[in-house]
Amino acid sequence: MEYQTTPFGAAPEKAPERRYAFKVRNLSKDYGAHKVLDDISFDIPEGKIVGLLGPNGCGKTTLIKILAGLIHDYTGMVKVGGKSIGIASKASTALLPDSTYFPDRFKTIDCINYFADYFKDFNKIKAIEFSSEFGLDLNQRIKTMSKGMQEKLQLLVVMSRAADIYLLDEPLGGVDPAARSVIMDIIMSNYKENSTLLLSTHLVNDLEHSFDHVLMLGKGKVLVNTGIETLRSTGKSVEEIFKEVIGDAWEVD
Amino acid sequence: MLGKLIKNSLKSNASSVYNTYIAMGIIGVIMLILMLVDWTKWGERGVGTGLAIKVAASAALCITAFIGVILTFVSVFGEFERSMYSREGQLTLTLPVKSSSLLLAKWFSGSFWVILSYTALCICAFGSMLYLIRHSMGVIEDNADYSNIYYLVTEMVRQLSDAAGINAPSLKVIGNLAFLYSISGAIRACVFVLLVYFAVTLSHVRPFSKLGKIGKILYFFAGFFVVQTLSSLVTKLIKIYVIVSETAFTLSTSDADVRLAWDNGFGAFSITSVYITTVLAVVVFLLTTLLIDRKVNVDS
Repeated sequence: MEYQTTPFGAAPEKAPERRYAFKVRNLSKDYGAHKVLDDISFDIPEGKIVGLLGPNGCGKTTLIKILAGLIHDYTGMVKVGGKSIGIASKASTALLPDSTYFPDRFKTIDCINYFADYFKDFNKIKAIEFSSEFGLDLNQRIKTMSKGMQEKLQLLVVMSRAADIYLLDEPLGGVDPAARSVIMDIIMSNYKENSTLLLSTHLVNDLEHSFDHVLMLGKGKVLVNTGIETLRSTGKSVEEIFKEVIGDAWEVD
Repeated sequence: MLGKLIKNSLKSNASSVYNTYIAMGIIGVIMLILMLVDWTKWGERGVGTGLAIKVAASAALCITAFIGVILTFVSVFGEFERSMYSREGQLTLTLPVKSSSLLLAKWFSGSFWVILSYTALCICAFGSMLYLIRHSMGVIEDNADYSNIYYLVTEMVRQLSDAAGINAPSLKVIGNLAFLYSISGAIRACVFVLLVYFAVTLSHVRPFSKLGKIGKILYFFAGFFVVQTLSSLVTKLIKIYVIVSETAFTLSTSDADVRLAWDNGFGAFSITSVYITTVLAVVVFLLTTLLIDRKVNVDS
């Protein structure tokens, strides 16, 4: 069954008066025979909280990695904060990947110092205060921490940055329902004002009230790219639209 | 920023190799204690036992240093792959730094540890050899001259020069030659490290990633073969030597000058291969940077 690529409208080709957090043109990325992103184009305006939604394997993590500068063998044009992927875009982008990335030998304080060394927008005092709030010992080594503690630590250093763009890949992925609201509170109350949050998730129901904008991917295409008000004007919830749109996209070849 | 990258790379490598150096330090101290023990107190049997223990301790030190070199290699290269292309790469490759700075820092720190392990091995091997010769000669022949390191080295040089049929160079000339060979060895070690980094990087680029771990080894040997072949070809075509005397280093392109130098107690050193290896290292560095910038993927 064919699915429509623009039930809620693709991004306009030209909108010079607006500034975009992400500007993507004809982006394609494959893993051998499997095409994950198939010639997609979209724009996301600055200062929005964007929900990046889609079924497993639809290319959410791949897209985030491309935006973060971790995947290079793609075709097409990608701009983050008006800049091509490079030092400048990395300086203004904070990435929270879906897996932990600190070396096992690091202590909490090493992670904080590491970020302080490289990111000018990093607030070390805030990070130390955060770690105390989270009950993280500054001298505890990563290898002795549980996965949950490592995720907390990663979140606290990322949210201690005053970045222009936050790329959060499944921040609630392995988190129990009780902790989800705590984590979302931390994210929502600590990101820099007027910055853009791209938040990938499967938990549409839990998060849809937070989104300003929704980008849905499926079968390698952009299925939905629109503001939340436009979606709500249909009289349906994001989850209902998600199920409706993604329902077709699930029918993988 | 480069300074911070180097500092963090050195710390990261140090955490992988420090166990090896601690082991070497402990064995070194044990050997020192064994050296200071007066075995003659236990009579002739004690002297024999003492010599056997000293030989065993020296051998243990050399073996530890050799294992140290291998472990340093494994640690340094493992650390590079782990920090660049595994889950840690999501941190390293999102830092707002040039990939050339990142690679330079890794290269500097990797080369530092590799050269340090080589140096430790050379010191252990040469020191143990001198120590054993000195003590065994002292015990067997009771020859007082052998307890003098300066005399011992001079005598070794004289005997080697006689065997080679040349005039024995002075210790000053040997020192100057040793300096040049050390620089050359250090450059080769750096190139070796860079070739491994290149191979590891290439193995994370499609379609080269298909061969997995075997690919890394293949790409390394392919790179090594190319560098060695080009180096030896150019060395045959272009001959540039440094003639080493006690007071000066003089450039020469003549084989006759080299023979004359050795006949007159001077030394000679070919710098063509060092030069071409350095040029090739720059090419490999730029190529690796290009791969990191354009082709490599961090798949965690």
